[in-house]
Amino acid sequence: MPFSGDIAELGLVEVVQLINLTRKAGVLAVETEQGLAVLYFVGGEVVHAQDAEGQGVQAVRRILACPVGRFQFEQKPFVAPRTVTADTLSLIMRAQPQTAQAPAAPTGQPPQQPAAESRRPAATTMLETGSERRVAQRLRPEQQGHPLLRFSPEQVELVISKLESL
Amino acid sequence: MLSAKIVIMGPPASGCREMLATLARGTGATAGASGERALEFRRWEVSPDVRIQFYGVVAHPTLEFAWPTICKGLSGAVVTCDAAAPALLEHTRHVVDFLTTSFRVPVVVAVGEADQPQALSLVDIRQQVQVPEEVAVVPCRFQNWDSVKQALMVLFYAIRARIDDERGRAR
Repeated sequence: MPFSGDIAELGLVEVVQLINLTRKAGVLAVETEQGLAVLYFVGGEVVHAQDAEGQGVQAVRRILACPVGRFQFEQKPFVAPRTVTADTLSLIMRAQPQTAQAPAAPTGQPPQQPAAESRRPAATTMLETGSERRVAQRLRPEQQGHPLLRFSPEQVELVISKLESL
Repeated sequence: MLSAKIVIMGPPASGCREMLATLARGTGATAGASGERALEFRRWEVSPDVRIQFYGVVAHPTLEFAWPTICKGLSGAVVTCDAAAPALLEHTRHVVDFLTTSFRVPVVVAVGEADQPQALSLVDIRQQVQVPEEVAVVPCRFQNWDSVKQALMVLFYAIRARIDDERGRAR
């Protein structure tokens, strides 16, 4: 299910955070005044990023700093080099202070074929997304247990009495 | 240690974030370890054995794909609703429908701005939002702790009643 939106309305940090949280696999295309940039996800983790200036973690940081533009995320199979091995949550947490000083690059090509001369050499691992889809499917609500039975009546009473006392 | 998850969810600008902020002030709940921007987390240590995790979720339509994951494992939910913003009611109905059909847990609809002159009545809201009979609709001033507390207590009373039902059925 593709979803899209305006960065001014919903920041890229939040979009990436939610893709990470839901362990999605697919391609997030970002169109800004500086051009097109793309982030590739497997199991919610950014595995490859490409903008006009380069690829890898630095590209992730530049992309996350884009203040205006539009994004579209699409769950679709892709083949890409692994240029990002850092934990996505860490990248998100560090995104704002580091990207504040990193202007985005001018218009570039989407990385359907990653640039031959990247600043950060790409790992040779090629990624395939089919297995990650199965991970995402495990998250459907009808497959979840019943959380209420974790509570004992005494524990609920405790919560109620504590609330009453506040 | 019991760690129960309560979701506070509503359309943008329906009072969700205000309610969570008031709740944090009232209970002394602290920001969770992963306190990020799209979601807000608050952790209330009720006792050494009981912890409640509050998830504040602004139910932005763009992020609907993430709702099942965000709500996974919840023990109950509060849906925030603005009685003075009829344009949000359809979205509120969608959130209530999602929560009540996807999860077998108690849900409470907390209605803010109910004292505004142009506000819809609770009866009208129940009808327009198509709130199921078993779901309570309560007025709530989201910036007032006593009011937020009352809404939470309605939820926990409902949780207690549901647990009694489930246990009775299990026997």
